[in-house]
Amino acid sequence: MTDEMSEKLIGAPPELSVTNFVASLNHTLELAYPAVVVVGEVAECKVWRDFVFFKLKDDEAMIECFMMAFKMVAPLEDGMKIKVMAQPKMREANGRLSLNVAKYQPVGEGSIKKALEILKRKLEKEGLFRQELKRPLPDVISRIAVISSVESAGYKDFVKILGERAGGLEVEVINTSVQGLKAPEEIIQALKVFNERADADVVVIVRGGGSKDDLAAFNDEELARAVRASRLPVLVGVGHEIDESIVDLVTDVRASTPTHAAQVLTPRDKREQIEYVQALVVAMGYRMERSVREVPERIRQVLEQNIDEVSRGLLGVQALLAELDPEKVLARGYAILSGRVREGESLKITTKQHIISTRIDEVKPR
Amino acid sequence: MNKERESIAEKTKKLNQLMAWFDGDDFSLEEAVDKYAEATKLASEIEGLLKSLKNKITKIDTNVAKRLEEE
Repeated sequence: MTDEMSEKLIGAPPELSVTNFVASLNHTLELAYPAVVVVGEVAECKVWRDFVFFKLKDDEAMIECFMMAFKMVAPLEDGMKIKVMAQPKMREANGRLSLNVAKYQPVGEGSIKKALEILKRKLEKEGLFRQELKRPLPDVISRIAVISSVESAGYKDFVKILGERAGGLEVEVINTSVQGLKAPEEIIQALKVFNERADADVVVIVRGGGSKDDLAAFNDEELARAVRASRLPVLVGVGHEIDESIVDLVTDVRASTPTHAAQVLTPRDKREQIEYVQALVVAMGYRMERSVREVPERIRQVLEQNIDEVSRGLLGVQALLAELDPEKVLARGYAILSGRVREGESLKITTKQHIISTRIDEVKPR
Repeated sequence: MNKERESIAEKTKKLNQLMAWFDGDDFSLEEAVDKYAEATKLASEIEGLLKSLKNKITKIDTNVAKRLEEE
């Protein structure tokens, strides 16, 4: 096919100015790559006015990147491996293709660790981890606001344990990403929604375990600040016991896993409550049984007390009777006269030692 | 707090008050029989309520991701 023939078939290519060509190219790029995620190592990172410029490279290639400085939500240094979400764009002024970065996140254990340490120092200096900022959860929790990915295993564990341990709770859930570049922003938005509603007692953010990369969203500075600024107290149950993120450090209460978060929210579970009430009834039964056993003992005590009193009374009577014994009277020198008191009659006089007979000479009134 | 949880809380409170009476100086065997029957009934009601209670889970359709895309 000759050039003339192909020109006839497809029509003549449009003649464009450079500006229009670049604009058209950018439009095509926008349609073809509304958002691309590119992973590479940062090089030549510099901040100029309101912009951050850096290069993203690997062993074979390199591309320039730029972003607005306010989007720099995590530490960014040369040598760090990061993942960017960006849109490719050809810059009109110099004809260079670059990535207009919307979001980025460190990837790989080394970069994540480095970024985490830098951010930790920064927020610690600002006092965001201070213990006195941490609020306790309410004593009685009835309404729980949950932020999680509802399809995740972590969320399912959380709901299962909550159901096993408690009943009658009102749980509201906002489904968000819990990993990846979009996760921090979605979680922040969900936090905002719950904070605007007045009815939850606590907000819970849950996510199961994963690699350092999977959990990197929870080292996002903006998310950490949003958690700290939340009007409602926040409980975070992300990852495993050994994973400690920036969000773990700023939150009011940290649970080591989603399961642990459910346990924290329900300090006494249903089975324990049932055991408790059963134990109370058993204790009441014991108390009654003890009381019944004590009855004969009390009766014995009462009888003993009564016998003692009667005995004491009898002793008094005995003493009195002893005092009235005629022998005792005679012993004190008295005598007993017996017989009729009439002149000429005989009388019998009984003393301690003798019985004497005598006759009455005279009787006269005293 | 929903009605069932309130009811459990109230019944548990009553049960605790009964326990305090059983432990206290006012305890008498004559009254204890009725109070014990009351406690058994309360405990059984609490157990029934606890076993039947379910959590209510509502998904809020905020479509966070879509809203962010629009922004």
